[in-house]
Amino acid sequence: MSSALAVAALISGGRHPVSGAPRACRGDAVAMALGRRIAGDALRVVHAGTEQESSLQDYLALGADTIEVMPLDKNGDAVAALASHLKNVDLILTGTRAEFGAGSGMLPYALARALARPVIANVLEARVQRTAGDGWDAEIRQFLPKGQRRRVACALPLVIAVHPLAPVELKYAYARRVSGRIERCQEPATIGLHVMQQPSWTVETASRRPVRLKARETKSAHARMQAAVVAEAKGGVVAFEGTTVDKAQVMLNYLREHRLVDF
Amino acid sequence: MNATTYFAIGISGAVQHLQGIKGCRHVIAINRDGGAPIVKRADLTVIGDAEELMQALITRVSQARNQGEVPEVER
Repeated sequence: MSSALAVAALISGGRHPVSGAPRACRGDAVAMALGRRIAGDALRVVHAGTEQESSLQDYLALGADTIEVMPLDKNGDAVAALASHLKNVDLILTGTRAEFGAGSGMLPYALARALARPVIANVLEARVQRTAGDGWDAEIRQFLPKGQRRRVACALPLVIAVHPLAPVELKYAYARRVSGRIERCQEPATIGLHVMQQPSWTVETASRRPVRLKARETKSAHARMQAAVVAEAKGGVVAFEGTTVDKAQVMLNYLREHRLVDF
Repeated sequence: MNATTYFAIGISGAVQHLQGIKGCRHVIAINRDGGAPIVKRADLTVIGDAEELMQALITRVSQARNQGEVPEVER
């Protein structure tokens, strides 16, 4: 391990949820900002894929000085390519999931496995300290549901997936967007093309089924109670006609019929 | 309530009341109003004035007892 700390943030292109316009992926921008807090200007910002310039330039505006782009074709294995490219990096930061494409959120785990390093997900804050030896130690605050947080300590090298709610300030500066550089590194793309690792997915257009609308029932509580009570009742015999004596006979007949009286 | 037979005399059948007599096996209603909710619940409804009908029933029952009538219904 080198004595200087090497930190890299992985970025992907994002899409605006409504217009679909290319932009920076927020989760990755947060990871990059966290990386800049740890490593400052020494942070390496790496993108593997065929993302358009405009969305990568957003990352320049958000604080990256240089973006290393590893051109990959559509079926290229980003994990293997990144693993070979980031072998000597102590701390790798990723977002939790991409905003479009497969977006499986598996990249940090797959990358950690390829590099045989531990992975920590849902990271909110990270601090790196030098240990007594020549190594580095990371102290990490992890997101848990319902407002809970967990503090984790781990030795570097390490892969961490940053939670989108990590408390960082994203500052957009147009001057940085103009002055930043996007460098293409010509790594041999064939190195990590593991066809077997590619998920055997087929892509097809979603067929949209008509949704049957249901009218909302606006009944009072009394009406609902009534329905619940009366629904079970079938309604019995009704004696409308006849004199009072006849009706009394009807009642007596009913009682006799059901053996409710013994005379 | 959990009665075998329930006489609803002059009971219109409010929701709470119907809920209360849910467990009754036989409900016999006497009511002036043929459209009252109790009519749907009752196994036998007699339309008419409650007081007159009860008097008639009492008369008829005591008559039947005294004469030792054999019910027409087969046992």
